[in-house]
Amino acid sequence: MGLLGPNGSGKTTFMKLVLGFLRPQHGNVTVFGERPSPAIKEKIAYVSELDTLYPWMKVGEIVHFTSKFYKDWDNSKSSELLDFMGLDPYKKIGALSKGMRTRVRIALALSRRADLVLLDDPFSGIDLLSREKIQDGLIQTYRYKEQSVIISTHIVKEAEPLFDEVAFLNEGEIILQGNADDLREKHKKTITDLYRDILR
Amino acid sequence: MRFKELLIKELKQERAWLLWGSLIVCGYEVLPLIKTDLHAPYWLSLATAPLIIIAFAIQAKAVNTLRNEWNSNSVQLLFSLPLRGYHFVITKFVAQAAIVCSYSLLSLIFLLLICKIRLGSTAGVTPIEMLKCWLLYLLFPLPAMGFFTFSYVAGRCSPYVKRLVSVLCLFTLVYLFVRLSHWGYKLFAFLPKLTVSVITVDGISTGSFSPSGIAFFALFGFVLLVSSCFAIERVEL
Repeated sequence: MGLLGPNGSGKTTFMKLVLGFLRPQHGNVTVFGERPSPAIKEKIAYVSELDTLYPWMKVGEIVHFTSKFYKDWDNSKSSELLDFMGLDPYKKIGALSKGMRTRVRIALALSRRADLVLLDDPFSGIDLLSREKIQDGLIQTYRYKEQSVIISTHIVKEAEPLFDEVAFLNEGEIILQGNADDLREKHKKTITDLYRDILR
Repeated sequence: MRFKELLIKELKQERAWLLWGSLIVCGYEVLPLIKTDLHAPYWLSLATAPLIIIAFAIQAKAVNTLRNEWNSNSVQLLFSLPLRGYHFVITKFVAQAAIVCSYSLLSLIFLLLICKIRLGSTAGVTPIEMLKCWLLYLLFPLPAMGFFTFSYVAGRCSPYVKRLVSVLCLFTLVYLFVRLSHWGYKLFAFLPKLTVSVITVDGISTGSFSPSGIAFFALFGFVLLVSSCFAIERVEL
């Protein structure tokens, strides 16, 4: 699912609410029928829009560290992803470029068999090659009908092929939501053009 | 398992402090041995200075470690893990405690060595006495960390003027502790008096004191540390 909207539309806030990083001012948030809690985080893989990795750790170290906290961690998938993303396990995170660090964070999230994957602006500020690698990684690891992947982005054009469902957000509200194919057919426009028209 | 992994991460993060800091303490403690022209009161103060400095410096270090998690955004990585507040607070506390313990133990060992060399004897202070002194000493910096940790977390819980809230919280806690200390002394009045030997320039000086104040301080610090474990779960990112 694509969560689309300009900067400040509430994409990150939505993800933080799901994870329990923020508490709602009104109403309730339930994820898999439960309030956000540490137990819920076992079912959610999250990639922040920020650089959250420890620069003093090596790639292999952060993979090992993260793997110890999740029952759904898949070691073979993790090794495959590191290979696929072109990541050297012996390289220090502090020595990697922004694009490579994003690849590490994506690899950490996709190495799990999580029911829900939240990717907050994963394509922002990184080079084309890294963006393509991340997209390919997502397609390869996605478990159809077994897991949900929510990607928030304002780089709609490149991410459009990834979306089954889309929700357009503006000023904290969903202004249009639906199946991507249905929306294309109904409005006779691509999601990118719809995004332009709706949020202009 | 999760606690262990987080603790290993914290200790790895602090390994430079543990290694280089310990070497610096050792290097510093050699000074009173090399400077043979110093009179006894001076070298004794010189040798004991690290113990006092460490007790205060570790408070700044503990707050800085927490602040760095927020500044480097790694707090989002930690908070996205399926962990409870006590995992974060206790592992951070243990890592800082390891630094205080290693520095102060090294300082005390050196102090004993210096006395043996400069005074020609350890003035009757046995390793057991030293261990007792060390444990007593730790009852100041470790509970004090509870004050600082809770104040920092309280500041983080506030949506605005986080630093001001932290500072105000710290002053309030100190004020509360002072106001409650009379009650605290009574609470621990049942504790037997402790006899401690102190090395002075004239040799060994033995005295006894009531540990009720220290015990209350430790209890207060412990309660604040436990409170920090709950409060950190209220922090919004």
